[in-house]
Amino acid sequence: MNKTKWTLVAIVVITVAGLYLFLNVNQAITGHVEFTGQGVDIVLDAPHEVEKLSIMNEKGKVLTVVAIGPGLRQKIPVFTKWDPDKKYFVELTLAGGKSIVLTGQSPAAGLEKVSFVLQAPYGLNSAGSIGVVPAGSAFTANILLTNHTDETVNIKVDIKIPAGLEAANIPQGMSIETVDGVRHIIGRKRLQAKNENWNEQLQLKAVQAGTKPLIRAIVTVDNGKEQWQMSGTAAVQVASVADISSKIRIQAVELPVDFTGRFDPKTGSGSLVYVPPSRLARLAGGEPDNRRLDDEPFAYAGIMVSNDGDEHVLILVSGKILDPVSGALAPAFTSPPHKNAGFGYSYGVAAIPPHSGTQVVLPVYLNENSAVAGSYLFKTEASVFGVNKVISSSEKEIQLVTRNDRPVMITLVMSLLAVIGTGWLLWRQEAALSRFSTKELVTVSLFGTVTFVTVNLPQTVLWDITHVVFGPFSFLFTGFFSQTVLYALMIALAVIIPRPGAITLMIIVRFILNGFIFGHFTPLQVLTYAALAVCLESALYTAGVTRNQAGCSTAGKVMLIAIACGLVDVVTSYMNFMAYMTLFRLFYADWYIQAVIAAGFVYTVAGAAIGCRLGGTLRRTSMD
Amino acid sequence: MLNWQELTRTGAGTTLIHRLDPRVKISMLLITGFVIIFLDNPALLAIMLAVGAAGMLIARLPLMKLKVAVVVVLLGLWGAVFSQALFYEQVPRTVMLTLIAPELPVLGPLTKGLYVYHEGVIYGLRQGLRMAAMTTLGLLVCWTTDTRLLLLGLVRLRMPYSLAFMAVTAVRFIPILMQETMQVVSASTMRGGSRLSIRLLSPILANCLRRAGTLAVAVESRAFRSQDRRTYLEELCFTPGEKMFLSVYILLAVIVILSKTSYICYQYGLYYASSLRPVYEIARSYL
Repeated sequence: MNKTKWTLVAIVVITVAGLYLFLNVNQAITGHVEFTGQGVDIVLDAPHEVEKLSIMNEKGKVLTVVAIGPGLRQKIPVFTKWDPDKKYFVELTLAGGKSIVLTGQSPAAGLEKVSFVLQAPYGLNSAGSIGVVPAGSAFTANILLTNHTDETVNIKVDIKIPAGLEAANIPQGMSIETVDGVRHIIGRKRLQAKNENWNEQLQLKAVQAGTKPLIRAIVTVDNGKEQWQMSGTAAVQVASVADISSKIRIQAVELPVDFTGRFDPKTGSGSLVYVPPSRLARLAGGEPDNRRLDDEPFAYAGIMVSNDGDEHVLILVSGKILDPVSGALAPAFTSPPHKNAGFGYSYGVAAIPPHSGTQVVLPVYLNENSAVAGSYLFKTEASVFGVNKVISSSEKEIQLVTRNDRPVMITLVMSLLAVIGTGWLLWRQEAALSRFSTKELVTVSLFGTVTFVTVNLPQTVLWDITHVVFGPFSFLFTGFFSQTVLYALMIALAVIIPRPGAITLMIIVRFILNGFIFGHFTPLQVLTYAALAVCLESALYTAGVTRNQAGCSTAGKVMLIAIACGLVDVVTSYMNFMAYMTLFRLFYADWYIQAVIAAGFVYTVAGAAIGCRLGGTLRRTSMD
Repeated sequence: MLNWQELTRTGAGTTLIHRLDPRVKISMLLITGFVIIFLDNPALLAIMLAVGAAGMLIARLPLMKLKVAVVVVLLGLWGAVFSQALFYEQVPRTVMLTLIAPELPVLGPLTKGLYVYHEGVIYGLRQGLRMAAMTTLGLLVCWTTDTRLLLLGLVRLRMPYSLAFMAVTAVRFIPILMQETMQVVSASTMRGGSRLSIRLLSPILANCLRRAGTLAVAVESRAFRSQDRRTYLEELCFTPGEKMFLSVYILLAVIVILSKTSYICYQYGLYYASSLRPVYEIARSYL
């Protein structure tokens, strides 16, 4: 090679290496460790598939090893013991064998001995905030006490029910007592082990709109050595449903978002793309994707709900994917029976602070066995938690796009065949053409014309007209031209000029004529003709027609050639369907493809047999 | 009756489109063929079809050719509409007509019912625009370029001369062969035979083989293939305007193909760069 070629090779190598490094640059995986009463939470900055997790102390002693199930994780809670003011190491083994180590320093003071949480209404986490409850409805107040010590503690809870609220239902083991005309809910419990908790829900009823009752709770703790008290308060604003409805609205619905609620620009709003597991990756020894049909969320919807009022509101948001015609839940999108309490659709609760908005992220499930591409309706409804009345709703049209990689892969194979065929022709054009005499070139050219006149012409004109008459079964009629006549002519030519390349030249002439007369100079035509040329040349060479000029001397040979041609037609017809599906985005039913191919096989076998006989007759004429 | 001599007569005209260098036309056709595969926006496809149709009017093509173009385009559109009306696979689907009920013996279980879907008709029409646009442009190029120049253009684009010779021979023989086929069919009919029989191939091909022998002698006597290189009476030469036009067209095509390819790579999870998000947005919304 000369200097220029070496330079070109060097440029290509450097470009490929640069691209490889650019595309395969290792993205740093980061996260942190949070210490909780039950152990630690491993929080990653982005979701990753984690296979195994080990927690070690400062001395490198392994304290806990946890195997994690399949699926992407961002927060992984781990039950483990930790001591205050110590350093801990968490080693995460990711899918693919890569591992990272996170470091965490435990709090110096440790956790308080007993923690107490009062939420009213249930789910309102912000301390000091006021939640809105509809007048006349029952709502839930939640208490949670956790023992963070190894000692047994006796706990007494005293919840004062203010005017404007009534106790609708109290848990077993608790009682209502009236002290100085004020009702109290009293309960006692012994927590004997570390991390043992006491969690109760009280049903309270808001009586009159416009009041703002304050719930006060006093907790007395006794561990046998000392006694102390803790207190908590929660205020609720009682309002009418109409009043709440005027201030709550569904502001925006985005789909798909990731599970943190970020909009995914990949497919655009309202577009869900389902890509079946890659067969190619599986064939190439790729890792299984561990997908469990509709068990894991397929996508997420982010619903922004705004609150124009002055208090927190607890909102129940539901997202249903419906058939736009019938209005029923779309079967492909119903959540699995063991998810979402078996309702078939997703829902979530959000506490919305005053004069702000909160995004509720709902999972969307897809049953891959019944997923059908098309338009669906995503209906979102918001209601005040605990009240069975929709106060705001919205509808958004969504598109499910399903992608099947089979047509794409087969089109790529066709492209490869076309590139190989065209490349060979360009490379060896002089040598290939010089093997044919002028008479042979003219013969091939005239056969090309005959093929065009007897196959392409009727095919172009009749194909669509026969559609009108015979509907989807028109291939039974057009197969006579597109298979029987075509293969008869091609095999006849192969018998007259039994050399590799004659068929290819004829196909090229036919392609050019088709382009000159009907303007069919499209990449699809190139693929179709190239695939036919490569496959048929290979088949005829293998069958001996163009290799040892065996011709069609015996019935066995004729049968062999006919079956070889039939198989070529099966392969090329199938490839053509796949190319049309990929390049022109057309649909074809499986039964239709199979029927066309089966009929094509029969027509081709007949055509090839006729071609053998025709070739024999014409061979004598050509020798005149 | 279709006049094949008239239909295959090309390049007779003096309009701007007729005068364009054949290499420009061939390149445009091939580039458009690739670009159109990447396009999904029906408005763009309709614009391309309209451009092809406008080109035919500007080129002042004979009425007969315009009629043929309309028929060929409509047949192609019909094929796409009809097939997609039957095989549309997305939802919602509204049944307009039941062709085969699922209960029908044999065909019912085979096809699981065959219906004409309203949405499929619209989808087929949209996808058919792609084929219609390409066909229109192809016909425009072929009918406004002399076959001799078209072949010269192909030769200048590295097509082997022998192949070009074969193509021109084939084109020149179409009217003769049509005539001959008609004669053979007429003779067969007069003898009480079928108009549509594979047996007719034998006399047609026998005549072709005899012609091949005569033609081969004729061209060899005119020094065909005697030299590796050959000269031409006419030489093709790009005008500055053609160079500019082709450069801009290639640039636009590269932009469209790269934009759509980057979007497809993103969709398939092959490659994503946040800096390319505007490109993805444009590709998704407008291409």
